[in-house]
Amino acid sequence: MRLAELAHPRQDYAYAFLDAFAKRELRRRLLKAVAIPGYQVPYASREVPLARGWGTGGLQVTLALVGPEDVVKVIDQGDDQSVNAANLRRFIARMSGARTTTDTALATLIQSRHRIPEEMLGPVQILVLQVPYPEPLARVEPSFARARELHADAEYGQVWLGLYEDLVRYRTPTQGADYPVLVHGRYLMAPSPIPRWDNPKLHQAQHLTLLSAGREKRVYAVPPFTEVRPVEFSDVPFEVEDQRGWADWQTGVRHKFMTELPQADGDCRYELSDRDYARKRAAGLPTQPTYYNEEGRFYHPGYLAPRTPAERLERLLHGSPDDLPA
Amino acid sequence: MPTIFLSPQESQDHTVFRSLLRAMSRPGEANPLPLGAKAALQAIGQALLDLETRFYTPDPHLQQQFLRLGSRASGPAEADFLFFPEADERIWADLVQAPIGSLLHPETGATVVVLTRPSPGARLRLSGPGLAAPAPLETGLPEGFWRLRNERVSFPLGWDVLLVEPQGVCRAVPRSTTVEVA
Repeated sequence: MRLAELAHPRQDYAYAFLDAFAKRELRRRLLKAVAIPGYQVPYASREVPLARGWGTGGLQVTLALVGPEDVVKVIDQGDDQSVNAANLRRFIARMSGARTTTDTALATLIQSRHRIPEEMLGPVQILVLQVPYPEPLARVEPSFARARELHADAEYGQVWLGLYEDLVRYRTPTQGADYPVLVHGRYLMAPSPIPRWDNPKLHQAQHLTLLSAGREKRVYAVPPFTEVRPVEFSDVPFEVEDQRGWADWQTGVRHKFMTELPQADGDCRYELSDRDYARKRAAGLPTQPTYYNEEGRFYHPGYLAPRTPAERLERLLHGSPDDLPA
Repeated sequence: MPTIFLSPQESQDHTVFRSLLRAMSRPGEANPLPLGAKAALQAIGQALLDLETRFYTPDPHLQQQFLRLGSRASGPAEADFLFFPEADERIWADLVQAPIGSLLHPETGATVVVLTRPSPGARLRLSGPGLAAPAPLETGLPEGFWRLRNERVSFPLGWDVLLVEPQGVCRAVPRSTTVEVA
């Protein structure tokens, strides 16, 4: 008998970087997070070779999930090629042997910072969102211990009060990205700083969404087919960003989320934020159905209220094509 | 390139976890496990238990296996995981005691893993998160189990049920699911 026969095979790192204890702990937490939609489950949050605040939460969840048969896509504000996204993607692939892609349709695991892809995600896909601030009550309650009590009692009155004060002072909600939502009618949740445009995509979705904050050590989830409603008043409904007049300067595509590019002459151009979707559209390649169609209608009819009071009155009196079942 | 190696054990743990995660996010849906019968319960324990967890099982063989993982044996009232290879009236008394968590920390509610029999059981109607429309489910568990479950579960408090069928299939009924016994 030789020593080499008794020893483990050579291994520089644990599979998917995290050691077995870290993975088991996070996996147990993830199962509880899915069982209690929207509730922030505390977890240990280990050191990973990435600075806190650069996606360590998302990275740990991805590492706890990933297997050799997975296809991984990583985006940062819709872009696969940002330094942060490229580094994360390379690290995940190197540590797990998983394949990588930029194509939303081909990915099984999508880690994202601040965007949900334009193309609809399917039932086998899992979306992992990186979260900087998981506590939606932080704006109205500085103490996390007290915020936990408010969550326990579902005491969210202060959030509606904050929204009311915004409307009184500024006639519009001041929260742009990271607009709070109520999940399964129970827990108030920070959807991570996705634009309001992406909030409705979490409602009755086909895919599982996992949200993880590495610095704040919280993980939470939105299972598929779960009610996700924005904080809103019935007479002042939630609205997504108004980009109706905007068109992508390269492809002319409209009614998808755009990035504003200031020009030297003071003018500005608009560019599709989802870069891989833009690539496919520019190359004339087939794309999956998108959450918002070419007229800008969201795929769950009636989820988003009409924009103008006149349109709202019209809908109240006569109904609207949006109200018909899909 | 660093050498990365996925051991057969880790590979099994990974497969089991992904199956459980999918099951938990789609209540009632059948998801394959790499092993069947009591070995499936053991595989679930292997994937999730270590010295940070407490478990309860009336089965001496499983208990021995789980102790080997470093997990601590406890009574049903303190256990994070409860494993029942036999689902009959005798386990009711244990189930009543299983932790349901607190409003401050609902995640401390237990996970109940039950090996079901192919025998006909209660017909259920499931609805809630993870289900596009209410779905029927026939489990090998008697009505009494589900009555007790509904008595103990009041979202966000309660325990989450993992049903393992002998041929190696798992289904989950998390606490967020509304279970109607037909």
